[in-house]
Amino acid sequence: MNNNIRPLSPHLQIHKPLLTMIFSITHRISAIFFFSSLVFIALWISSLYSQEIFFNSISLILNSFIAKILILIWIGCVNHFIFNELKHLLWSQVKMMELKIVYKISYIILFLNFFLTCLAGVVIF
Amino acid sequence: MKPSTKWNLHRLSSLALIFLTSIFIIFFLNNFQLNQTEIQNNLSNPLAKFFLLGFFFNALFHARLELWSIYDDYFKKRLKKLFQVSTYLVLIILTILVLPILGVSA
Repeated sequence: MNNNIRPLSPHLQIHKPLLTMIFSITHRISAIFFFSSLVFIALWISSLYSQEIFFNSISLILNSFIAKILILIWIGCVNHFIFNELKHLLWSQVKMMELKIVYKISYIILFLNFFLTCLAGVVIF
Repeated sequence: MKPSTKWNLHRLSSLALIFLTSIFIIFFLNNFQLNQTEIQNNLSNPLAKFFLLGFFFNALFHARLELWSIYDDYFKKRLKKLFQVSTYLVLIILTILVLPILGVSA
């Protein structure tokens, strides 16, 4: 289809929220959040081989309580993104596409994400 | 880029990203509270550096592919072009930012 006449995504508010739909939307939101975080990751990597004063400033920010909470939220988002990418890879192979299994996988993703984020929380704090 | 090539690249980079992001999170959690010299020592292992850069550049590449499909779905031609150009600019700046890790001064 020509890109110029390609229809845009429909208004979401006219649909009844379903778990699969919520996962699809949050997958995109977590993707945008993950890609935005690359700016901060680049700054951190850059600081590793830059002047010590720059590294110390970044380190000071990263070790503050608020930054640690943000890192924890970031890990939750990245986990959500990564698990959903894995699900999409399975779907690309036309596997696990039955509705019942899709719901089961969604709940497993929620549980694993919660567990791994809590584990990360223990490491961070 | 042919849509089928784009689709295959998207799947490949997605597979690599799952693996590399897990490694990055473990590396980051183990290192972000250390001082500069300690992290540099941990990165003196070429494999650690390879995985860190592999994660970063693969994430940039995947971001390029994923964001383009988001722009296609939600924005009309003019706005889409604006977002695409801005994304390219950000990706170039981010690439320049991580060059010091390779021993290249930006």
